[in-house]
Amino acid sequence: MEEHILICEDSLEGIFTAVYVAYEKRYRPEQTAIVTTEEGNMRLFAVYEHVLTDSVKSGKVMNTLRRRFGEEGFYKFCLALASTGEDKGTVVYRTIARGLGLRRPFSVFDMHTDRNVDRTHKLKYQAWHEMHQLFGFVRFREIQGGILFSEICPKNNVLPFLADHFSDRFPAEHFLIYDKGRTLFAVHEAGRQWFLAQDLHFEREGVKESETEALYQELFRHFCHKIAIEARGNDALQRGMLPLHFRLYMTEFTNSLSK
Amino acid sequence: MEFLSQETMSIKEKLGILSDAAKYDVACTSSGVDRTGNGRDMGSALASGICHSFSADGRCISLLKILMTNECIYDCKYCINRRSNDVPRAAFTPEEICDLTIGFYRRNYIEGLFLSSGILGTPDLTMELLHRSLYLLRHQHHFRGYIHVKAIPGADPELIYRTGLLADRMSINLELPTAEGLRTLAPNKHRKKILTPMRQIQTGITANQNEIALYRHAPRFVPAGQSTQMIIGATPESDYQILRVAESLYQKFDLKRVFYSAFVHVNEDKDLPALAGGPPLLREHRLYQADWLLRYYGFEAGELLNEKKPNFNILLDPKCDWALGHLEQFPVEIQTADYQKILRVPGIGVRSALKIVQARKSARLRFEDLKRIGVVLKRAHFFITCNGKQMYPVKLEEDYITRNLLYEKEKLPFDKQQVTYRQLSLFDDYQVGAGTEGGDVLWKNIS
Repeated sequence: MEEHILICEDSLEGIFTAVYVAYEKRYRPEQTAIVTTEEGNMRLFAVYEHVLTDSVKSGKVMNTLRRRFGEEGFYKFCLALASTGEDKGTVVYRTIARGLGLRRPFSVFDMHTDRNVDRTHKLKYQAWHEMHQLFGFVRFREIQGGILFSEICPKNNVLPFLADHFSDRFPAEHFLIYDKGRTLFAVHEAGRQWFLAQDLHFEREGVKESETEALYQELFRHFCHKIAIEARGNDALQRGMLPLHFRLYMTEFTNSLSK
Repeated sequence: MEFLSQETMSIKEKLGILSDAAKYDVACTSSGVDRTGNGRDMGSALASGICHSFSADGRCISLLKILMTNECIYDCKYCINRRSNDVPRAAFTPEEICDLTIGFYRRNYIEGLFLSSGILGTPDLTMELLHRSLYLLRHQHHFRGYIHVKAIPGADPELIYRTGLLADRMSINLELPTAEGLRTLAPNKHRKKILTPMRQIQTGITANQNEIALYRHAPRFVPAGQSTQMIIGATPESDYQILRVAESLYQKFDLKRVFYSAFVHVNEDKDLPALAGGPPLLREHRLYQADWLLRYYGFEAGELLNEKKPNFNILLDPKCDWALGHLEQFPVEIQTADYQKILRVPGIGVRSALKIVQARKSARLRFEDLKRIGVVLKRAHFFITCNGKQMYPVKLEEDYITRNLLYEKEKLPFDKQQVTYRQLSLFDDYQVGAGTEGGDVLWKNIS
């Protein structure tokens, strides 16, 4: 039996297009893989196919997933696909396939003994966890014009989820969140829907902080320092809860973010 | 003592003094209420709560935790802000509190405000100022973030009620587990005065829930529930007494959380114990573990401890300790036992118990599945069977299991334990060459 390997773009649309193609061509899920990068080791008896992202096809898949798995199920798949797992396309595809074969597709999430389902859960948790951490760890600084600006460097592609969260929380603010690793901006204009922008022309060096910004940063650093109880000092616990790589972008651990 | 120096004191100095004075309050959780944005005003809340930072003691910083003032007419012996202490005093105006909260919240430094206060003049005056701050924040700044506020014992019930309509969570500190403890260490506070407003808030919440069932848009009263805290180790109560108090607070006062705060020695006073080893962190940790067992695992205080055995085992967590004393209830068959039974197995938590119950609907579970689900088999395997089989042929015998459980060193959130083992393992260094971990050596010696 032939193995099929579909190579697609690393995005929700890309992977969902590949899912569409796999269904269209009636491939068997257990013999089909969806990958987002060209593998270093080509496999001998596998057929490689490149899939071009197609928003109509991916849109159809998304509609089906929403309808059959419900919003919650769809959200789980999206989170899993935002993770860094190399096998994410494959395991999510196989989970979808197994779920669609059930009378109640959502109950596929209960099948923890299925390796693909289990792996989907783990990838979902990985992305969810970083998203939840960043809900708290994102730091905005106010630049001139009252715009809020934040820089992050997450491992998982959680920027869209963050943009959702912060536009709900700050509907009347203009804000920008910059994902440094992916050179991706989330842009929110007060009262409007946010959008993503790649390679936005934004001179970070020339940006001036607003007048009150330095004061608030100073106040917060002072607060964080004062709120700790010396007699309970515990660096290891702090490091476990707030890993060092986040701190590069956090006000209370840096002297100035404008570097 | 008057506010003469207040005019010249900078906001930074005030923040320093008033957050320093608030840091011994444990609760910094922003959980318990889901509130999405309204598309216009700033703020939202998530039921899970969000931690925004972690301070050098490893505790979460979620809320801007400050006192409105550290002036206080009371003289509680354990408290840094007691009247007889000579410490710098400061007070925020309600407007300053609003500016700080909004400025911090916009930059995503915090999830909201935690406002407590020393008693300024009278309880009524203090409560009125707290209410004023919250009122400005909610109605002038239209702030929809999380607010946790202290109810001041002895304040007018009407004031407490109105403040509760503006806050998400309210708390009144029980301070010490027993009335006797309170009498010796906090001569100005009385147990009854603390419990009265606690009861008031409880009835308020229940009445409000009925109201909301009828009128969907009725204003919400303390939607995230109330909490309290007690100081551990300042007075001679046993763990059993403390846990019984916590249990009755959960059952009779519907509290959302009871916090335990290891006593930190900040004042010199003849009535306070001298704690050579620093704050009793291990004891606090055991109490939290037991607290979780009460709230999520269906345990009762009387099952974990009793008059004859009033304190927790230092070496074993309360759940393992309980299981070893009740071996007649094991082994539990994973494939058929009900959820509550599975939840009581050491090494299985709320999440993995749920996954087991879900997964076995469609498949037979094997030990490798359990491992993937997240069961800690090195602890659990003594107590379970899977399709009638044990993982390894082990005896269900107290001594044998205890020895093996102790061999696997427990992970604690602070390394007080490891410090002792490291010091001791220096004498054991011939063992290190044999490839064993120093910790295991000591644990074996102890057992």
